[in-house]
Amino acid sequence: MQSTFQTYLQLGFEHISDVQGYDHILFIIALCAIYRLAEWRKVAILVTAFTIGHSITLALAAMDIIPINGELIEFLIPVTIFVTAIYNVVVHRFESDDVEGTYDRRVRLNYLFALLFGLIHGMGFSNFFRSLVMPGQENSFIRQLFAFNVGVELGQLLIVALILLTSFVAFSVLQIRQRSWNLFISGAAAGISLIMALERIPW
Amino acid sequence: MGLSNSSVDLHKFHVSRCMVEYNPREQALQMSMHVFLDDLELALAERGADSLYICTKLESPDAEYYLGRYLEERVQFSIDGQPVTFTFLGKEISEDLQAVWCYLEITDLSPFREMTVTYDVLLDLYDDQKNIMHIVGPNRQEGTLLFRKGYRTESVNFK
Repeated sequence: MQSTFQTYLQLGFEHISDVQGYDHILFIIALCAIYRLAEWRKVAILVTAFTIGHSITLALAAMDIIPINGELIEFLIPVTIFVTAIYNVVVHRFESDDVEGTYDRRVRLNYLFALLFGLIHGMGFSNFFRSLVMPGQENSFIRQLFAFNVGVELGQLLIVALILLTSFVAFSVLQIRQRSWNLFISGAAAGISLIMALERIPW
Repeated sequence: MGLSNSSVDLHKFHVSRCMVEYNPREQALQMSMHVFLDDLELALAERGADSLYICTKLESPDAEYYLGRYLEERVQFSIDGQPVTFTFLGKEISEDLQAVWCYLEITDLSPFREMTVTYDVLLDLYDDQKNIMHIVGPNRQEGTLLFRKGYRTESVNFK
């Protein structure tokens, strides 16, 4: 019989990588828009910050320690995408036009964004997790929560890998400049997330 | 959660869950199934049983009958190769008033080795419907099955 761990891992993985509910995917796309494959270490820090953020609130909300306003969270998720996209375009500029790939790296606000916005996305995950969880003994609950979170992380890693590979193709094969790529991806993310946010205004 | 969905659909997920436990003392397989009320009423209405107002003051006297019929049709068990029927014991509204708990039981059941389950509740209503079944079998062996479109029936073996 399929173990509880496997099932909840699968549910977590499918939840984040589901193209029908692509808001989390879009957020990761926006986070990664300013990086190239060679900078994977920075991406790893960023993704870890996001993971810490969403694991905290997923656990706290799943355990009913913090209350969740579903409508508000669903609205705030596209807002996090929009802010990240705007940040990419405004803050991460070239220092000079002729140096490819040099952003102003002194500003590391995006690590903080990833952490704080992770808190919001985690509340979104918990909303879904709460509809899956089986009432019962505590150790079973922890196992379900842990497996679901691991599934989310694996899905996230897959998404990050696909994004970095796509941008690698864009830079090396299509010869797109990094700034252009950032504007293209962040612009798309900003547009989509703005519409999403407007559709989800809770008041 | 796509752009085209209505805002009503945004925060609701299409999931039903069922806890199944074999009780060796009572020689019975006991089940509690959690199904969202609005989805359930929609599914029943599509079959012609509308205005049931399940778990409200206005509940139709036929509500349990239609609900039981629906469950019998959509939830099926075969144990050690033999189809078995369950009894629909009753229902109860969930704490948050969003869902109904349905209680089912298969009685006169000796410990068994194999179980095949069809858990087809709401699977034709939503493409993203997921039904999760947590099973505690004879010998306390535990596991969780996931049912969805294309995976309506699953089998488990107990050691």
